[in-house]
Amino acid sequence: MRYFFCFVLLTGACFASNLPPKRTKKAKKVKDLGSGPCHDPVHPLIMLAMEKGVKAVPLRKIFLYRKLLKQCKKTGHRETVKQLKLKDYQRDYQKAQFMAGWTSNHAMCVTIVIFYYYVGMVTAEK
Amino acid sequence: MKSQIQRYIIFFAVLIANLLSAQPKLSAELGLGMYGPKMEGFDDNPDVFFPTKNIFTRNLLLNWGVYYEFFSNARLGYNSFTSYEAGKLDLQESKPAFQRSIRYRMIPLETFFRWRPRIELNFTLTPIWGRAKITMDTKPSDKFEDWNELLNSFGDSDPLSELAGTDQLVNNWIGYSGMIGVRFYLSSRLGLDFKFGFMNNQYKQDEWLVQRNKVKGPAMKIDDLPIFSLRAVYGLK
Repeated sequence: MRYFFCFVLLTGACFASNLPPKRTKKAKKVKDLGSGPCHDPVHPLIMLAMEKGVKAVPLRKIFLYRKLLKQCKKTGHRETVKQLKLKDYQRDYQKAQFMAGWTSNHAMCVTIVIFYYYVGMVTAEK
Repeated sequence: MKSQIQRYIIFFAVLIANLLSAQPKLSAELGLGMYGPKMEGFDDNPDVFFPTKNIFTRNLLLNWGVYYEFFSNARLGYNSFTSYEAGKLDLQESKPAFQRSIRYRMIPLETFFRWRPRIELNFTLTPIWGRAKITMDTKPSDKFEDWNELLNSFGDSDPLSELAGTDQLVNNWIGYSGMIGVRFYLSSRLGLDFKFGFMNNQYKQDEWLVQRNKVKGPAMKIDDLPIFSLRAVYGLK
């Protein structure tokens, strides 16, 4: 029996490690965020901004819209708000990315006129 | 004939429905412009000294405008650049309060495209309806002497025969301008816009009016001017 205990102690001493015992993670408390304007059913103003862009929100309701966005952030829809803003830029970007028809001609005319003016100014000074 | 009318009605209904469904974009702008006119009539005047010559009264322009986006990458609007000066003149008879304003009113046609989602390049061509106004608050007893002294200093030799209670020198002219700009959107509604270009005004010194009489006004060189502007843009709708 004495030899057996010695054997257990020795093997324990040989294989012991300095690592601290693993702590088990505490289970995260899930906050009850409650329903916000971005939750189903989505607030009509948020819906309007999602579908037609932020500029479609009437100016007199812009403060309400901002308030709703803040509530959305508080109720766990930070990403939705971010996407709402990004989508608006993307929408405008895609709509006005390329000059269509006559608008490119107009831009070229303006560029030529200004170029001609500045070249004229420089050469006249010389 | 009946079918033709129906066809027209359908055509216009489609056209109007198309316009209605498109999102109207109304924007307002407020900012400053900068240019370098030569105002010899004021600055090199040997007879009357204009005391308020500085960068604000000569080179800076107050700028505001309203634009309507009628096409996916085109806008039409109204834009106004104003140069303003106010002070007191030291004339022989009295020291009247003097005000001078030059307003360059434009109806710009602007086309644009988005270079990046937040950066826009825009191109503007516009006619100009310019108006300059000079007013002087004088005593009724010194009115004729003061106005004649001012006009004589501009090179007008004929004395004024009639004046009213509120008198002002007015001049109108036409011109044109072209500008290229860069706009950076701080948010989807708010943006900063920098523009550079030129403006050409057909100003004539001999076409000033006071009480519907033609007189000679101050000499100014406001044709072929480079112009710069920086403004904040807010999308109203």
